[in-house]
Order: sequence, then C-alpha cells, then structure tokens
Amino acid sequence: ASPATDSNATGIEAEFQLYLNQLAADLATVESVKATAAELTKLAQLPLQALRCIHRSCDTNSISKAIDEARAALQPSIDLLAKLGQQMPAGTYYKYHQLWREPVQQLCMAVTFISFLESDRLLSLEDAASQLGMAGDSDGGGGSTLHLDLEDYLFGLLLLASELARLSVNAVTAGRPDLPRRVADFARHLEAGFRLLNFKNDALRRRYDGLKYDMRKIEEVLYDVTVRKLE
Amino acid sequence: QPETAASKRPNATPPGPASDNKCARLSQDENNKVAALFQTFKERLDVKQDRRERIVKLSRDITMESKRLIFTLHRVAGASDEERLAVLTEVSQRLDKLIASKLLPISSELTGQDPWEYRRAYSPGLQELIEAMTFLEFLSTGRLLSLSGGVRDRLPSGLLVSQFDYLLGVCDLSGELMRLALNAAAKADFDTPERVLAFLQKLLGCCETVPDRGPDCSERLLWQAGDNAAKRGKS
Repeated sequence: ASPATDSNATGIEAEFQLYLNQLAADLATVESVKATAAELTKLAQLPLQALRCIHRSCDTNSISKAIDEARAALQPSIDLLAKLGQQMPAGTYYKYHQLWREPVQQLCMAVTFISFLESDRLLSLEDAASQLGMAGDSDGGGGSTLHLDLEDYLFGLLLLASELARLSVNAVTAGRPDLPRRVADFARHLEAGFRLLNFKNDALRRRYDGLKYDMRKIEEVLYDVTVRKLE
Repeated sequence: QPETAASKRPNATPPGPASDNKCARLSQDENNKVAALFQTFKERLDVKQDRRERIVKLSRDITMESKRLIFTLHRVAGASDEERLAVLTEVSQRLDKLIASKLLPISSELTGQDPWEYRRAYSPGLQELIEAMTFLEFLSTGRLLSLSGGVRDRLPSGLLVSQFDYLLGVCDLSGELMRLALNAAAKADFDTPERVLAFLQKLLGCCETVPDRGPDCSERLLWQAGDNAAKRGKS
C-alpha cells in the first residue's frame, strides 16, 4: 500500500498535532512571562528613582531618607518576582531567562547601591539574593523560587559603577567633597575583583569594558578634589 | 581653614570610627572580602565556560559525522535492494556509535545542571543529528521519526531535545529528501521521488500550520517551503 493513500502512515500529522499543542502551551507561558517582566521593569525603576535624589542633595539626612524610600519601593518588585517564579514550569529557569533578566539586574544595582551608601560595603550575591527574595545558589535550581544568576548580579555591579561615577561628580556639586574618596575606594575594590574574571565575548564583557571609563571619571574627580584641597 | 597632613586620610572614610588605624584596617578587610568573593565568581564562571567549550566541541563532532551519515544515505538513490539494505544497516550502526561516543558525554556534562542553560552549545549538532536520524527512518520505514517515541528514546535521557531543535532538523530533512528525489530520478529510479513527494507534501502542509516562533524558525521554514515548491514544479 502506498503511504500516500493511508493518511497517517507517515506519522507526520500526528507528530505535528502534538507539536502544535505543546507550542500553544509554551506560547501562553511566554506571553504571561513577558507581561510580568514588563511590569517588573517598570516597578524596578522606583527604588532607583528614590536613590537618584541624592545626586541633588546628599547630606546625611537626605541619604537616609532616600534609602528608606528605596527600601519601601523595593517591596512591590520583590512580590512580583515571587509571582514570576510561579509562572514558569519547574526546570525552565534558563528557558525564559532572557525575558526577565534586565529588571533583575536593575534591582541588584539598587540593593548594592543601598549597601554602599549605608556601610561602604559590597553586598554579596547571597545577601543581594536574599534581600530580593531570591535563592542564592545557582547550581541545580529547582522549585518555584527564582535564583539570582551570577552574571545578572555582576551586570548589576557594573551598572552601579556607572551610577557611582555620576555620584562622584554630583556629590562635590552638592556639597559633599568627602564622598568621591569613599566612592573611589569602593570602586577600586570592585575593579580589582572584576579583573580576576575571565569573560567570553558577550554582553557582560562589553559592559565590563565600560568600567574603565567609570573608574577614570571617579579617579579624576578625586584628583580634582585633592588638588584643590576641598576635602 | 587649611587642611593639615594629619587630617588627610589616605584610605576609605566609612561613617563611624574616627581613628586612622581602624579605617585602614576596615578598608583592608573590605578589600580582602571583595577579592575573596570575586575569586569564587571567577571559579564559577570558569567552570561554566569550560563546560560550555567541551559541549561545543562535541557538538561540532556530531555535526561532522551526521553530515557524513547523510551523505552515505544518499547512495540508496537508484541502488539495488541489497546495496540499499547494506547502506541502511551501516548507517544505523554508525549512528549508534555516534550516540554512544558523542551524545553520552554531553549528557554527562549536563548532569546536575540546568539543561536549558547549555542548550545553545549543542543545538547545531543536535539538529544535524536529527536530520540524519529522520532521514534514516524515512528510508527504512517511510515514516517520520517522532520526537517523543523516536528521537528522545534513542538519545540519552539527560539530553534536552527541544521541539525547536526537532522541528529545524525536520525542516532540513526536507532539503535532503529533495536532493534524494532528484538523484533518484537521474538514475531512472522513479519510485523514490514519488514517495518523497507524497511525504514532503504532508510535511510542508503541516509546517505551514506552525505559527511564527521568531526569525530562526519561520525563515528556515519559508525558505525550505519555497525552495521545495519550486523544485516540485520542476520534477
């Protein structure tokens, strides 16, 4: 009997039917993840907006206030991250990762920025993850709690470096000539750390290339402040 | 008020403690912590990248051998029944060997890892392999090797075979089938082209029902569909 007469002898139609069903389910997940990620991207701006007030007024009180506001503004993002974790089937963390990594990077920037302002300390990946309600350990994920990807955390640190470079300049303008030195010390530790890493040619590497320009700016501001004896 | 040398602090000035020594220690402390932290990052990144490299190399080997298998399968065009059987048997054995020698190692690399994280590293090799496997199946039984019962069953279970990779492998298969049909016709084998045509008509009909998944998939599908439609017209 020729295969052409028996409609499912080739198995093609059955196979594609299966495929289409699974594809439809997958597309539904992609749509809902994208929607949540878009909302998360918007919410992630709020803590950063609160923190960016210090570019204009960075006396101790203003900084304190900005930190409190930023902390409060973090909560909606944390809640939404938890929801995001539940929208993806177990074991598909990296399948949809590209859809939502950007707001996570921004949130990392926010919490590490707060840590610097409060104590001049670098917030570790584990601590950053726990502040965001995420799991820290990235080997063998599982469950519905999202884990904080190492590369997203590192990207957040690089975003922080650019923010600090800008702060360095504005702090002097706003009457805090002592801040550039604190920024410089922190940034130097950061740069020394990044120099240990081996990068492949990807977005993280390209972002890392920008770190040297941030460092230069930070060091130049410190130079200006020192030379003019402003401290 | 002029600043004296004593009041200038060469190290970080964290809020709180006033003495110079303590500031210096705190800064050194922080420096050590950060350095240690990044050392762990370096190790983690290196482990991941080395793993990815090893998988990519295996994937390349899989691509090469799969292409050779496909080339071998084309010999059935216009061949005698004996030769045909010999080719199919040979390819089947080489396929088993390929799976054991190159796919199993990938599966080991992925043990304990999130398979989606490394999918792209072995995706090209996997697609080429699926092309070879489905080609062999068509020549042996006239059927489309299915993803769940067919492909996934023959590959190590730790290996993620996504529908995406399967679909692309099958699309590439349609190209090989066209080539087979043309070669067969050139050798006065008109039975093969007929079977290929029927199969392809089904396949392309189904491919057209797949909604747009993005540039990769739809481009390849459209290209194959257009290309094959043109060749169909000619033959």
